[in-house]
Order: sequence, then structure tokens, then C-alpha cells
Amino acid sequence: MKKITDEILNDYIDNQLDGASIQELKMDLYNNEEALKKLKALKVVDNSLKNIEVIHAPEGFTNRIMSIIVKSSRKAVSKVSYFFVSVIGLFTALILAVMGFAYYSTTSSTPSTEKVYSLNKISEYLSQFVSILQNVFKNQNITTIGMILTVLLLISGYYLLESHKEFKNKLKNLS
Amino acid sequence: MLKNEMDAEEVLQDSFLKAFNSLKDFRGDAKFSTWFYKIVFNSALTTIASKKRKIEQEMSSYDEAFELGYNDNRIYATTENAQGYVLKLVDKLPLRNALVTILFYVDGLSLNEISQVMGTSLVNTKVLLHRSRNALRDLLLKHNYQEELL
Repeated sequence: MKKITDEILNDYIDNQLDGASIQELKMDLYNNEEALKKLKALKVVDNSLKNIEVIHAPEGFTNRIMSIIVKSSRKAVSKVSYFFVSVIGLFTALILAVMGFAYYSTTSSTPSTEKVYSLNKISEYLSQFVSILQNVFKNQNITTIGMILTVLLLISGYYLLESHKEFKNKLKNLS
Repeated sequence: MLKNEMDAEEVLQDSFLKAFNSLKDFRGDAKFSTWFYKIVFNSALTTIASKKRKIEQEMSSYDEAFELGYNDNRIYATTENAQGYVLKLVDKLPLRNALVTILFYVDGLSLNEISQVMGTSLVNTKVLLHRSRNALRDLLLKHNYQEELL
């Protein structure tokens, strides 16, 4: 006769035993009153635990949570908008400063030699930049740039597709 | 787990907020419910720790001595049947044992899901559940409650 352990009894309660093991256990239980008592007690425990009353959240709990969530998300949105406004403001201020400087330099009746020199420097850099751009967009270069852009577009398209697939999987798991 | 309705409510509220704010971190490796249970579990542990309970003593060992016997006479005297007796005893189980029992029976989680929530191995989770049931079973036997099954 096989010894009936606590593990076997628990596995029986959890339906973890196969058919042969269940038959063997039933046979063994005929001659083992102690184990039979244990099994009965385990069944009482199992039945009692299955009938535990579920304690629900208090009334209005969902509304309270939702209002807190809405408040916190509003805060997050306002944080982002402050950041956005400050960045835009900084750019605007910079542009205005540059425009102001340019206007002052061009309209000033007695331009100093320093200002003339710096303006000449800026126009020199600009013309260099324009000539570089002209070289880049010559016929043979356009083909190369187009190819590179196409490859980049394909790669980014692939990653976009992958992330879409991942997102769909997440949605499936959520449901 | 917290043995206090107000604490439980606070932890639940905190868990919902954490889950909402961390939705982007949900990778979909496990079920959403398992992920949420884990947040609730960790929030509850934080609350317990902040209340300076002896959590380490309660949590670390699987061989801890159950103190059910200490409460047994009082509970037995105030209950009328086996079910009421068992339900009152569950509350007196050590933290992890009570949690495994509740997640298994009340929330219907599988042992695998419970092990993910609690960060324990599947074997240890199974051991915790069996020990909880065995402890309750032994007390039922003491009072011959198994006869109620007949």
C-alpha cells in the first residue's frame, strides 16, 4: 500500500491527479481511516474557501478614482503645455532679437566698421552654405540621396509595422 | 492582507493611479490582470512596511510556525459551523499564506499567475497553498468539523 501524503491529498483536491492515481488513492483510502479523515477535512476547507464572500469596494469608489485620474492627467497636460509655450516663446524671442539687430544694422545711418565687418562675414557664410547646397543637389547626387532616403523610408516603414503588430498583441492580451 | 478596511481602500486607490500612470510600461508579457495584481501586491507591501510591521519575519520563511492555534479557541467559540470557522481562520494565516489562498479561491488566479504576482517560484506558491490548507485542515480535524461533509 502506498503512503498517502498531504501532497497527494492536496493534488486530489486540486484535480491534479490522473485517472490511475485517483483509482489508486481510492483503493488506499479504504484501509486508511486517518487519511480519509484528512481528505474529508480538506474538502470542507476547500468548499468553505470557495464560498468566501467577495468584499466589494465602497460606493462611489470608482467615481473617486476617476476624478483623481482626470485631475492628475490634467496636471500632466498642463505641464506639457507650459513646456511647449516656453520653448516657442524662447524661439520667438530669438527671432525677434535677430530681426531687431538686422533692422538696426541696416537702418543705422552711421554703421560702424565692426558692424559692417560682421554683416559681411554673415553674408559670406550664407553664400558658402548656398553653394554647398547647390553642389549637393546636382544631378548625380540627387540619385544617391534619393536611394538613401528610400532605404531609410523602407527601414522606418518596417519598424512602424512591427510596432503596430506589438500594439495589436497588447490589445489582444488586454482583452 | 492589510487587516484594515481603510488601508485596503487607500492601497486600492493608490494602485489604480499607479496602473494608470504606468500603462505605457505594460509590455504585455503577462495578462493585464496579473500585472495589476502585482501593482496592488507591491503597494500593499509598501503600506505594511511603512507601518513598521514585522514584515520580514512574516514574509521570508516558508517554514514559519503558524499561530492559528493561538486564536483557535476564541474563533471556535464564536462560530457556528465549519465554513464560518475556516473563513475567520484565513484572516489569521501568515501574510503570504493568506494572500495565496485568497488569490486562488476568491480571485480565481492560477498558481502560475499567483507566482508571477508574488514573485515566487511556482513550486513555492504551491507549497504555500498546500500548507495553508493543511493548517486549516488540522484545526478542522481537531474539532471534528470534517463530519459536516457527510
